[in-house]
Amino acid sequence: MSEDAVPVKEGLFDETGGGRLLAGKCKACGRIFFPKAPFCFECLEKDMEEVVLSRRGKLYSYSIGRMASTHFPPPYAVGLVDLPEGVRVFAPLMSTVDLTYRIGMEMEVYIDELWKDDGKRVMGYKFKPVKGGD
Amino acid sequence: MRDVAVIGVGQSEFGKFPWKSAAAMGAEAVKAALGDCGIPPRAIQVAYCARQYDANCTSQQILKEVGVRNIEMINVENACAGGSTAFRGVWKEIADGRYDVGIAMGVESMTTSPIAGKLISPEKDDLEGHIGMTMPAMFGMVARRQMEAGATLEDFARVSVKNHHNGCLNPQAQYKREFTVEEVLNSRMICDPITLLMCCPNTDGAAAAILCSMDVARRYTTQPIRVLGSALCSADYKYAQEDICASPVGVKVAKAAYEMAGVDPKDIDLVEMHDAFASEEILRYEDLLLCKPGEGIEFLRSGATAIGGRVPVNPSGGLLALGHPLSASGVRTVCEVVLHLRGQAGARQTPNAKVGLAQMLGGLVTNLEHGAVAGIHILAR
Ligand SMILES: [Zn+2]
Repeated sequence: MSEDAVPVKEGLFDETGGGRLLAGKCKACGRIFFPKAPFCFECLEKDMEEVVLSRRGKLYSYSIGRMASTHFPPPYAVGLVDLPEGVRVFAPLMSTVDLTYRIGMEMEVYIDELWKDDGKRVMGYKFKPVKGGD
Repeated sequence: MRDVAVIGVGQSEFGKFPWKSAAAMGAEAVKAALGDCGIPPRAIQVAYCARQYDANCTSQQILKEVGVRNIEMINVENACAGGSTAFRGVWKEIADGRYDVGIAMGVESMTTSPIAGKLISPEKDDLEGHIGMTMPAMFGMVARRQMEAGATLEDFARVSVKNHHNGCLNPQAQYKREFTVEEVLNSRMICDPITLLMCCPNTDGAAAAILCSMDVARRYTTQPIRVLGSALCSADYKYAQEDICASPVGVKVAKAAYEMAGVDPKDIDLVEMHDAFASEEILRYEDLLLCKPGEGIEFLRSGATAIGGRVPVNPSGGLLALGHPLSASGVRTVCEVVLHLRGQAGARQTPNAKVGLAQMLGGLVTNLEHGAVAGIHILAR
């Protein structure tokens, strides 16, 4: 990450291979949480290990915001993406020209600037449609 | 556990009144409730008041305006279910035999709240809130899933048309104006596919209900309305919510309330519920077991939930037209049900209503199901 950039939160993602999400996996029951949970919400186990999530998943749902949110001017897209690890991730979606999203679309994670804060670029994860995906 | 009755209900004017204090609006509702049953203010032994924004000691601030002081007063916050929580608090006190008479209040000044005219801003450590999660965005995503299951934009609009029509029949509604399906669909887009007229407005207002033991009730009214069931519960972690259209906690609370009341869902004559978004009302038909799972859209289209239908839903106009002062709504829904059970609901009266249900659901908490708390009361004459 360049010097003028800061992650929106530490330990959630890195830029390897176009961007990866880092989740927490319960060492007792195997449930995976993203963002990482402080302990396993299922069985209360405290011993969690970091796992890398698949970069691609299916769009579970989405909405286009037409009213400014705290950091995003309208229009902006947000969605829920189901990953093969059984994790549903809420994230901003790429602002494509026509904002045509479709439930079930194949999506891919990437790292992008979310907003600027005090001259710094605040970086985070977003999803975009996979070119030629279904 | 003792039987508990509601003997007095009251509501302040609902609308945008930035110049009115919460205490003044609360006192307006309390005076109406006292006048409704004729009980002297000093007969009240316990008070619960729900409020989400600003000021402490809300019960004390309100009740000193009507001469009530020196009793146990409890102030609560539980998002949109705050009013349900206050009502349940008073019900428990009387059912348990600790007191004989109590008052439940809910009040909110939305126009002077920190969220007036904008989306609720996220807490500092609320990551999802900062990256674009808001109530309308959540319900936009839920609505998209509803459309996958066969709902149309017109269905969502029809809920708004229905509740605005009902509001025209309620002198206390914030909005008394009919809208067409086209007008709802063509109003400003908030979060695709949710339009402005599918969202509840910002509302200032208050509601109050006076509860008492059956012995006391008989002294003040020939029409005590009994509280048959009361249930309140908080949500599970979000990862367990596979279908974002369903509210597992909403279903859990509904089942608990029906079981306690000894009432079958098909015996419910009217429902007042949380329709903060028009699309949401359709989902709640299923949570409340008013229809079979997956049949909410058909249930709406059949006209069953309109005034004159099998089980009118939000005959008051609901949050969409009557308005939604957050913490007041949980008490206000009970008040509306009481009026129907007494046959005093005027032009919007549900004919021969015997059993009614008042529901509230609310709160967006990171890592929990959306709708972090649900409360339901079942009342009967
Ligand atoms: Zn576990």
